[in-house]
Amino acid sequence: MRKIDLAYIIDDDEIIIYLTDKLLKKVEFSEKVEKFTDASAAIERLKLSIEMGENIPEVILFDLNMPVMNGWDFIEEFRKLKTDIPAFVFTSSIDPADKQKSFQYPEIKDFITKPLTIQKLDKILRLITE
Amino acid sequence: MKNLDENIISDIIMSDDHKILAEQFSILTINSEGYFLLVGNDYKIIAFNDNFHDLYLQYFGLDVSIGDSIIDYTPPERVEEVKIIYSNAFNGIVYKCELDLPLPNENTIVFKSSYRPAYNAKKEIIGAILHSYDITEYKELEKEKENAQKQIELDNINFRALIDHSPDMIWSFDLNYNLINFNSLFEQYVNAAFNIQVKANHNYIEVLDDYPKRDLFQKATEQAFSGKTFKFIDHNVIDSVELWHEISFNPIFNVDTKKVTGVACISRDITEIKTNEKRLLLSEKRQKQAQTIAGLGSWHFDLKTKISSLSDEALSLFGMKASEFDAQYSTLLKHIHVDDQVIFQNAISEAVLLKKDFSLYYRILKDDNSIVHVFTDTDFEYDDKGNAIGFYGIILDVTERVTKEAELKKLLFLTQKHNEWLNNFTHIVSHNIRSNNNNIKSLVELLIENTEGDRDLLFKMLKTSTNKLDETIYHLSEFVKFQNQNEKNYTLLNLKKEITKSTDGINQHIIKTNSTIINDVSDSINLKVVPAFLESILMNLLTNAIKYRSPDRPLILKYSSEQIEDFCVLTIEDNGIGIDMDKHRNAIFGLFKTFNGNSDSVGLGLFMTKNQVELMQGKIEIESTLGKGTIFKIYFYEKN
Repeated sequence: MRKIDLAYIIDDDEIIIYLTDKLLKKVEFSEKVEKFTDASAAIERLKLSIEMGENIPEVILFDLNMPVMNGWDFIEEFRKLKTDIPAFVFTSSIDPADKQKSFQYPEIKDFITKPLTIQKLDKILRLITE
Repeated sequence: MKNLDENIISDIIMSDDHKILAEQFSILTINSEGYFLLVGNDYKIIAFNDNFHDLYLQYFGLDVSIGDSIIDYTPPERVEEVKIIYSNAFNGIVYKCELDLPLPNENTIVFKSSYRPAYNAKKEIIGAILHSYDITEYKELEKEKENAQKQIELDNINFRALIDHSPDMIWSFDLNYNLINFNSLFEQYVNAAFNIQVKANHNYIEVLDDYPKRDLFQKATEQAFSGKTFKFIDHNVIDSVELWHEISFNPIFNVDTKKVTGVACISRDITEIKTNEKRLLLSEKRQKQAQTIAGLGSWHFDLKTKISSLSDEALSLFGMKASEFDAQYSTLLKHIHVDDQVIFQNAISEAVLLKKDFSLYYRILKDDNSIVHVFTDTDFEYDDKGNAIGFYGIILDVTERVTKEAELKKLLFLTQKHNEWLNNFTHIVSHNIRSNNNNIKSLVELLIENTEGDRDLLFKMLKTSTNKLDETIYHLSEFVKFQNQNEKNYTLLNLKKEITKSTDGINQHIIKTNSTIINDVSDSINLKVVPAFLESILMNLLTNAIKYRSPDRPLILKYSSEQIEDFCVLTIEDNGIGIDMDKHRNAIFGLFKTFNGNSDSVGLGLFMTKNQVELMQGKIEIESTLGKGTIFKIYFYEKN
């Protein structure tokens, strides 16, 4: 798998973070993975990175159901930053309404349901490099 | 005058000397208006008075002279007649006659004349004395009198015809009760009713002899005799037909003396009026009954007098009796529910101002504090010129309808709430189950692959996931339990006892965590609630308080109660870790919210609590300070 530099994972469930991190490392998806259990922390980190000219992620996976700032709040904040970073919804929701809503955001490249698999990661990679 | 003339005749002394006789005539008759003539047996004129002479001269141009024969002065056609009259007198027979004397001027003088023998001292008939006097005027008077009499008779006939054709029964009688006058209707009636053929002068008391209402008639008569008119309504049932008469007894006054001379009675048949009156009363009564049955009242408002008239039914809707209502609008207003007085006043003032019909729903607060929901619909009333003079309105009791509507709304609200809750619940549960299931699956796979290293961490994670799954399944089972709850399960429970029950249930845990429970809830609060909901709410908040107690101090959990409007408010105050309200205010009761990064929380608890409170038409509020504690206020709606 073609390795990318940096990926963000945003999920309030630490087990998901752990499992996803494991899988990304296993398939050598990216050089580095930054993990956030709070979406607002991810936004702050991204802002800082852009300001400081640091590495910004080449892909962001984010959950929808999160306390404090949920996935929808996150994507609203994220679009304000006007980056071309591809974002992916990463959720256990199978609600068609959620799926439909996510496709209204051009920033969101796809709607990925948990659990994450190698096949799904392959698809993500394909979508990023296209 | 005639008598005077008679004396004159008897005073004449019949002298043989014609000259003396003539002198006597002129002297004795000087003051008489009569005409005197003395004729001898040979028709020769012996004497006459001046009147006689003047009459012949004036009307016939004849200068009557002594010694002439009276026959010479008589028109030829009457000579025979005159001769017979005189010869009768010559033979001792007195002859009296009335004589029309046609005058050349076409007038007629009417004379009353007497021809009688003239005796001398020896009682020998020496001739005849003619005495006439003018009765023309008398005759005319008599004629006038006759005409007047005729007129009276005619009037009488007309009057009789009038009273005979009157639809009223008319009769009159004098102070001795003798009937003076009556019309044929009276006659027929008396005949039919008493089998008496009445005549004038019939005694009225006799007519009434066996009449059951004699006393009443007697009383009426006495009143009329005393100069007063007495009226009464007479009701009879004849052959099962009801008859009403208005009878008046009117005194008859003498024009000159002003004294009562009798009584005139008029009996008017008012059966038709009475029947209509009765029908009207009946129809009014039926209308009233219909209004009562329909709960429908009517209202009339007069713009000029500002007087309100309400039907009995309308008044009863306002909780008033007819005797208690002063017809004032302000009194009506006082009986209207205080929250509806403004809309009612506005509707009325607008309608009065614009002269526009209006309809309105409002509430009436009765003295016994019961509320009647009513609907009023009005129509304006206009005079001939098109000016609004008032309005008519109906007042309809719609309490039942409104109550049912409210119940329906409540049911609809509950159903909607329930559906919303169901949707959300399904969403959370499916999400929780699926995500934990996924996690467990992945963790187990990792455990199989990894035989060393971070196995402990994986097991710990596995435990967390299974705990979460367990809690979700617990809520699911609770949910299944609630599914069977509906309004019928509302039970009156004592709040303080229920709190004690919930704390007793986890007493071991409370002791173990060194927690203090203070139950300051009033003993007297009994709430109508769904028992399973209340149990769940209390348990959830209690376990939350223990779960999120501060690590720095033992938990003090305080329950208290207060009354706020229609709600009984339960306050649960803890000194736990608290929630950052600025960050989480809108999220607290939402979906899948955990605030503390505590691995035990699933985010269903408060969501469930809020929904259970709302399903019982209450509400829940939260105040919290991070690091200090949290206060929950649960509003229980008391009107359940």
